[in-house]
Order: sequence, then C-alpha cells, then structure tokens
Amino acid sequence: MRLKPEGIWILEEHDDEGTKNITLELLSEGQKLARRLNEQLCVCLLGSQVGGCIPTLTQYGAEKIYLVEHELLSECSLDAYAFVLGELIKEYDPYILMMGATPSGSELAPRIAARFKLPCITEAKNITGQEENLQITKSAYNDQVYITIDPLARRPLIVTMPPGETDIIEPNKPREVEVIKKNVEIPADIMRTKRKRIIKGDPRTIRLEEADIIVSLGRGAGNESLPILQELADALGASIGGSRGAVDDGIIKFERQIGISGKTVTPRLLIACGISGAREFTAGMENSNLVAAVNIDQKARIFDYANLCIKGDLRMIIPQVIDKIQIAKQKREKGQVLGLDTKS
Amino acid sequence: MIPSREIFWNVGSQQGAVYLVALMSVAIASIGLLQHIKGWRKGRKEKIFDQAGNRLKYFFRFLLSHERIRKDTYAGVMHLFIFWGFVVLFLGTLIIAFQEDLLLPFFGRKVLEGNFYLIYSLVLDLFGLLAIVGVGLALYRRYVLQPEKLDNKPSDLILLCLILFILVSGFCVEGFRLNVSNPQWALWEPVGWLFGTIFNVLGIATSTQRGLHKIIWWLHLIASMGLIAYFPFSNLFHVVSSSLNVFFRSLKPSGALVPIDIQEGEQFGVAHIQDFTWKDLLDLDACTRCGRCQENCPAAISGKPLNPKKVIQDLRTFLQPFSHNGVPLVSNIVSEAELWACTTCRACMEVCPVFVEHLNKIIEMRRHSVLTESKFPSEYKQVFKNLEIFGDTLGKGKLFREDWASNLTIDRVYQQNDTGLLFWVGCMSALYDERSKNTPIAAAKILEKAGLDFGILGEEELCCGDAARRMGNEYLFQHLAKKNIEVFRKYKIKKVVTHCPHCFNTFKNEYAQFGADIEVVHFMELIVTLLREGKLNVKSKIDDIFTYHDPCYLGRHNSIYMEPREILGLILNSDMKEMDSFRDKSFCCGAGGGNMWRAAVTGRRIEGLRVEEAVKTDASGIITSCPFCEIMFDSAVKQKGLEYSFRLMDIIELVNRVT
Repeated sequence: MRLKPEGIWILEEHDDEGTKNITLELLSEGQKLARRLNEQLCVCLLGSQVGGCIPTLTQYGAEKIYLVEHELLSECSLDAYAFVLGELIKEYDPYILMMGATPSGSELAPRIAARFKLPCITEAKNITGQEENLQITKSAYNDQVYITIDPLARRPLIVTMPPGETDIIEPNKPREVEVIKKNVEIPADIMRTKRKRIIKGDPRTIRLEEADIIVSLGRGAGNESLPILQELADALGASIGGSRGAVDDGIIKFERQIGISGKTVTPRLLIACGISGAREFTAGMENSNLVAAVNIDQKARIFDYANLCIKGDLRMIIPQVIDKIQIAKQKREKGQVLGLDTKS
Repeated sequence: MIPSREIFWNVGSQQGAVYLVALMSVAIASIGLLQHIKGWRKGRKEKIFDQAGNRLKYFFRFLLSHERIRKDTYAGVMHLFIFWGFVVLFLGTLIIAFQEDLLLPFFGRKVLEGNFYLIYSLVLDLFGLLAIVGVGLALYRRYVLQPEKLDNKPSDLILLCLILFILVSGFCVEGFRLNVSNPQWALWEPVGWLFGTIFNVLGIATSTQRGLHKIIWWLHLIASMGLIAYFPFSNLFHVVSSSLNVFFRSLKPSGALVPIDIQEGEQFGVAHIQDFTWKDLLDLDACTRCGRCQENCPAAISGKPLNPKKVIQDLRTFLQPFSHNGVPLVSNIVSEAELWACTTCRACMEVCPVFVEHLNKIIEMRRHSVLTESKFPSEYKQVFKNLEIFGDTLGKGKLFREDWASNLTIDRVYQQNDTGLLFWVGCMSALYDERSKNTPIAAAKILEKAGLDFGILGEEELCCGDAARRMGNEYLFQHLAKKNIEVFRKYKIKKVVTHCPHCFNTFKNEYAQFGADIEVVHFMELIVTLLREGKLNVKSKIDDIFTYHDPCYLGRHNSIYMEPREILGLILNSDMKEMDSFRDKSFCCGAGGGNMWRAAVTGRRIEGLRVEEAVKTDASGIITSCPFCEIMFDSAVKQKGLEYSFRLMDIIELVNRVT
C-alpha cells in the first residue's frame, strides 16, 4: 500500500447509448481539479462489455481507467457496484472519489462512505482550496443558502455532484491511456436485491411535470395539427402539452396545460408549436433546458425564450423533423451516434 | 260641519273582534321574529356597537335617500314607492290607534278632524296610490320582465298579491264609505272618491254598497293582520333584518380581512354554521334575493359555478328552525368549485344594497378548507410552497429581486440609516418576466425625476402575503406579514409607496392588524401629488386614445378612481374612453383571490370578457395600474389575435414617457 492516497477518481455512468452526460460533466470539473491539485484523473469503468466507452472517456481527459467487467455489473445492481468499487478503493486508495448525484450515485456514495468510514458530501456545487484544506460548497433550500464544508482528514473524500450544473468541455481526440483491467470475483451472497424488469412510463400519460421532452402546442397549431404533433411526440418519446389557448379551444385537456395557471415544467427539451408566447405561458416553461419554437410570426414572443427559432408553418416543418428523427433512429439501430440536425 | 269620520263606521259593534285578530297576528309574528333571533344567535359573539351615533345617522340617510337601492333605477324607484307608501300608511294607522285607544277613551278628544283630517286623508290616499304603483311595478318586473337575477318563489307572489289586495281593498272600503255617507269633502280623498265613482257608474245600489263595505272592510282587516302575521316568514322580514344589517354594517377598511388567531386551537375558519359570527348570520337573513351580486359577479357572468346570491341563500337555510347545525359547510352546502371561483373582486359587496358581506364568508370557508382540512386546488400547492421556500409566489427567490434595476444607474438598496421613502416593488413586477420589469423601472425613473429620496429593500423584500391570505392560507400570510414588518422596523420605515394594488391594499389595510405603523401611498396618489406640486412636469402628450381598467384592489377595495383619470387627463391629448363597466362597477381581470394560478375549467375567460369590453370602446389600448391585470390581459389580447393592434400598458410607463 502506498503512503499517500492519490488520484481523482470518477465513477463512470452509462446507459444503452453509452457514457452519460453526468460523467462528462464530472470529467470537465475533475480535469480542472486534477490540474490544480496536481493529481491524476482516473475513471472507474464498471459494467459488462463497456470497453467501448474508453475512447469517449479519454476524449474528455481521463488519464487512467480502472476497468472491471463482470456480468453481474450489467444489471445495475448497486450491491455489485458497491462491492467492486470498495475493492478498488481498498487496493488503490484514491484521494477523491466523485460521482454524479444521480439516483445510483446518490445511493452508492453513502454506502461506500459507511463501509470505510469516509467523509461524504452530496450534491456539491464545487470543490475549492488546496490539498490540505479542501473546501466544498453545496447548496441548500433550493439555492437559498450555500454551505461551505471542510472535509476532515480521512481520504478518499467522496463527493457527489448534481447533473446539469457544469458545462461539458470540448472533447479532444481519443488517446491511448493506461487501462488497468481488474478481475474482481463477486461473491454471490453479497447480492441482496435483483432487478426483475423495467416498465417504461408512457409519455402520453405521465405527469407533464415529469416529462423529459415536451411537444407543446398553442391555438396557432389548431386541432388539425394534433395528429402530426402526436406523431412527433411519439417519435421523440415526448409528452404533449399546450398553452391555455389550446385548452380553451379544446385541443388538449386541462391536465396538459403549461403556464402559470397550469403546470410549471422544466423538461430537457420543449418544442413549442404555434404558440405565440403569452406571459401566462412563458412563466410556466422558462426554466426548460432547451426550447425549440415553430411559429409563422417572426415577432412572436416565444422566440425570446427559444434556443432554436424556426419561422414557418409547422405543417410543413414538423413532418420533415419526424423524417429526420426516424432516419436518425434507424442509424442508431445500426450502431451510429444520434445527432439531431438542427439545421432542419 | 267639521270634516271627520267615525273610525269603526258601519262595523262599530265588533271592535272587540278586531283587537282579537290583531292580537293573534302579533302573536304569530312574534313567534316568527323569535325564530329569526334564535337563528342569529347560533353565531359567535362579536361586539359591533361602536360609533352608534354615526351608524344611526347613516341608517336614516340610507332610508331617506335610498342611495344604494337606487343604483338599480327601476328597482330603486319601485322600492321607493312601496317603502314611502307603507311608511305613510303605517304612520296614518298609528295616528288612528293613538286617537281611538288613547285620546278618545281617556280624554274624549279627536285629532282626525278639521283641516288636519282633510290633509291626512289626502296624503294617505296619495301615498297609498304610490304604493299600488310600486307593487304594480314589482309585479310587472318579477313576472313580465323576469330579469335573470330574480328567482321567483311562491312566497314572493303571495306577498305581493297580499299587499296589493290590502291596498286596493282599502280604497274600495273608502269608496263605499264615501258613497254611502256622501260627505262634501269627498274630493280630499281622491283615490277613494275615484273608486266610489266607479262603483256608482257600475250601478251598484247604495244599500248593496253598504253591505259590501262591511265585507271588504273585514277582508281588508284580515289581510292586513295576515300580513303582520306572515311578515317574519316572508321576504318582507327584510324590513327588520336588512335595516339591522345597514345599522350594523362593517365600518372596517373595505379591503381588510379579519385576522384569526393561528396560534391557538385546532380549527380555523368556518367549518359549521355556528362558526360564523352573529353578524354574518344576520347578513344571511338580510339578503333580499335581489340578485345584484349575481348580476355583477365576474365568476357568475363568465359561467363559473359561483353565484354569490346562491351561496348566501344556501347558507341561510341554516337559520330556519330545526336545521341541522352539524353539517360541514364546504362541499355539502358550498361546493369546492364555488368556493374557489371567487376572485375576491368585491363587486358583489359594492352593489349589495343592504351591506351583505359575501367575501369574508367565502374567505372564512377557504381558511377552514386550507388550514384545517388541507384541501385546496392542486395548483395552489406549488404557490404555497413557493411562498414558504422562496418568499414569492413565482418560486424565483430573493436573489433575483434586484435584477430589474440592473440597468439603472441608481444604487438604492435601503441601508441602516436611510430615511427616504420605501419603494416596494412586489413579486409580480420584480420577478415575473422581462416585460413586468418595465413598470418598476418607469416608477424608479419617475421618483428620480421628482427628486425624491427613496430606497428599495431588494433581497429583503418578501411577498406581501395578499395572495396567501385570499387563498385562505392565513398562517402563511401572517408569517410573511410579520417578517416584512420586522424589516420595516429594522430600517425605521415610515412611508411606503408601491404600484401594486395588492401590496398596497395589504399594507394599508391589513398590516396594522399586526402592529405595523406605516403610511402607505399608491403610485397613482403620489404621481397626482407630484404633478399638482409641479415636481413632475408633463413635457409632451400622447395622441393615442386609451381606456382605463380599474383594478379591483385599487378601486373597489380602496376607492382610488379619480387619481388615474386625473393623470390620464393630463397626459393624453384626447379624452380617455370609459368601458361599459368602470369605477365601482369595474369588471375584474380574473386574477384575484388566487385565480391567477388556477385554471378556470368551466365557462368563459373573465379577462377575455374584459378585453372585449375594452376593444368595444374603439380605444387603441387598455391602461391599467396592476401587474396582475396586465398579465391576465396579455393572454386575452393574444388569444383574440389583437397582439399587434391593441396595446396594453401600465399607467406608470405612460407617465414616465411624457415627463
């Protein structure tokens, strides 16, 4: 065992589409930290057949990768993850271990911390200070206060950071890095739960506030556009929402109304079709991550809130978008990466 | 021969029977009266005998001038006729009783003789005729015109017919008597003479007339006594209940709600009928079902489930004997849809001729629903949460409260030793969106131009609590109010100016309940003063024609009607146009009472109706002085496709532009 813990570790997270954004965010943050503390940026890549993720990780600055592949790790069983991660920590003794404050990260961090009696700070905003006097800032009460925390001496320090808070850096070219491939035997008796099946929520019926992508329509869209917008929503796995005008016109039900007198939504992507952007409406969606708006009126107020403004008739535009999505989907099925062509 | 008449002429021997009938009817009426009193006493105690002199003075002014009743001209005239007819006839009867039961038996004297008798006869005849016309008008209105606001019950028809019968039979009796006794002063009793002439023309023999006189005299007496007996069981009881209600009317500031003790007890607001105060219950009894509230209620007009008259009448059923007090009011008597549709615009109370207070009953039931039962529209959950966590209704947080001022060169956040005017910005202006910030920017510029020393609280501002209070969350309101008052105290703030009518009303009328000692002015008042004093000068005028929307909380709740019109008169080149409903009859924008955050699923949009009214004036835009109204109208204007042709502005922006 070495004398001093070293290395900034990031626990990689992935899904069917590859490494998740949270890992790239952590890498972006971790790179700065590693440079300042003069540490090596390492990634723990745990899973089954996840070798394909390595190039991406190196693109975002990973300098060393600990790779553990095991079939039990494929089922997202946190028991297995916790065990393997614990084994790695025992063996390599990192300085900081960063995870996303995602559902699985938030569950893993305290487990590891409890197992080794380590300091653990969840939902951190940033990490400042030098080696001996690290300071971690986290927010509380919905950003109403910020708390600065001194982690006491024991290392590694475990930190989780919420997704969507850091800008992802520009990727470099993939490079060759040291990959330490470990074989860890996972004893069968550590598995305390087993995932049986996944039931996907139906975007047509889930609550609007929880929808990840929303296709919203206003009175400009009219009743006749509903089928095509529903088609778009189905293609994107999105939910349908709408403005008060659309509810008044009976195009959609009240439960699907976005606005100050309806639902306040914060989806990853909101597509506003035929919505002029009354103040009533925009107050309910202004915190959406990305907004694309289609409107025939160039002066429509919704464009002030949109990242992508498309002037034109949605009946012409939306079918093309649907085509592009279908093509992209087919490509992805063939193993290619999805990229929405924003020029369309 | 001295003009006079024998009171029990032609029926004299049965005087005893007359008194027996009278006694019986009074007894029955007393039972009815007691039942009413018993009904009022179901309520909690409340002391409201303050300012008895003023109350009495107003009561007589109210009766004599009929000022509130006359607001509906037809009904006002009709009521005036019946009222004065009855008053004079009643006084006439009193004089007879005075003469027959006091003067004659004990002193052997009469008053009804000579010239006094002639004038007495003339006056009574004329007022009797007035009453007949009044009843005729009432019958015509109720059964021919049939305005929607009136619901006709059998008792209404019985009452009117009974009154009509009494009046007409009285004149018949007079006519027969004149014909039979044939005095030379018959023309001093003109209506009776007319009736007599008609009987003569019809060729009824004098002996028959004498007989008929006796019969109809008795019928007249029985009907009159019947009316007295029927009085407490009919709508006529409003003579007592409504009069009392006018006397005991609330003298509190019209925009203030009554605070409740949120520290003590497990029950808040009104759950059952006995949780109301006796004055609330008197209110219910005073309602005459005239329907003016319903006719002016924006919720009722736009087709929402709420009808203020119905709420009052539904609650009134509990005043009847044998009613079951234990029934929870909300959802059994007043549905949740009714309860939450109220925009607290106060139109109902403004038009109610007898000062029924609909609003505080609705709020009390909301309080029970929110604080005891935790039942309220699901959309409010987020609003309450936002207020609890962020201190504003929008959930933005205090960090953004100064953003609107970021482009201004002024740094005016209140410091410990500042003494200037406090400019209160309010959540809707500071936090809603980019557009909403125009108003405080314009306001700050006006204050700068006038050279006033002022400051803002910035991050230390919290929601004034108006929304929470009107949504029934008294606990949250008091929490916010106390925090704000603490800040006022910390900086020793004496005077506050704000442009938001809701903050204005809350500070002015409600914060005193929690010990605040501040002078509050609305921006309209301040601008008018500045213009009059010459501290602010109008440099150019605006050519467009605008119409002005009176926000409920500025107008009806605080009677600021004149100031905005004076300002518009100074800054517009041409006269402003008034909408159909303006000043105290102004039609709500639909946002008040928490309805801003609640989607009205049924009926038409209130703000839509108002914008239609504004468009009808041919003005090029609508001016208001409330951030809530502005947001509501924005969506209505868009919805009607008038986005680019119909303008929407706060009066402060206009003033800033021309000074």
